[in-house]
Amino acid sequence: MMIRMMICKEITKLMSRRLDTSLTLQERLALHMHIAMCGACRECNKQFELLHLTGHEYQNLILDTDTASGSSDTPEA
Amino acid sequence: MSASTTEEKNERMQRLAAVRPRLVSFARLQLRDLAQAEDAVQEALIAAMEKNDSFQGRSGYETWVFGILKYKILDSLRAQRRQGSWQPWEDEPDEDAIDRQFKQNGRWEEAARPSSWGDPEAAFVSEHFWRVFDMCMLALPDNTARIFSLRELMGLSTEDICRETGIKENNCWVILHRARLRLRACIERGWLSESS
Repeated sequence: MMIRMMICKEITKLMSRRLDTSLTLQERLALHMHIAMCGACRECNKQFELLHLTGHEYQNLILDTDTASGSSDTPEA
Repeated sequence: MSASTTEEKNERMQRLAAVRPRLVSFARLQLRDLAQAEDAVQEALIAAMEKNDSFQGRSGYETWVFGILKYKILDSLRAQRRQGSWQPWEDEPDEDAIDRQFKQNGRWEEAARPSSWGDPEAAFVSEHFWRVFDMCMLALPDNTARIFSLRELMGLSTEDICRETGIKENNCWVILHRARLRLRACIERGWLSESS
């Protein structure tokens, strides 16, 4: 099976869509092959993955506020 | 059913006061309006206080309040949409900001080439990272930011986002791709400039 080499801009679309839905086998293969060879896209992929975690981390940040800042001055009994 | 003691209630009130500013920033990223964000948080906090007795256990209190806030944000977004206060989707700024990251042949422009952000864990515990993130979110076009927030901050599926916003799923993926590229470029400028 011939896998067409995709250029960076197209690959970032797959990187993005991968976080929202499942890709076809061919798309996954194209993505992996490209990322294996292209350092910039590898970093971009990591950055997208990091952005994908921001919701969860933002929530942690909110929930940490009072324990981290010690705003509650009444110690636990 | 044991009602919470006054002491417990006071302690919870203090905890709510402590998380309030962060809740407002969170809501603002999505509602794109500070006054509406403050209203949504206010409503969530009032609801939390009213339902105080229905909350059992203490460790997950902020999580519980945060869950209430998410509903309030969704309500406000629906209201915004009903009142027609969203820009038409077609008016969203062009693709320039994205095209600028790539050459004609689809490869990265030298100046836009993604570089390493280091350890994600280190980023997430950095106040500076979150300031940059908030700033870059606020710099996004409103509709793009709303879609990104619904997906990545609220954790809705693209299917649910279609229902909430009336756009097609395909369009949703396109918008998310743009949002991620814009955000990564903006964050890279702000985050690496100071940390290096």
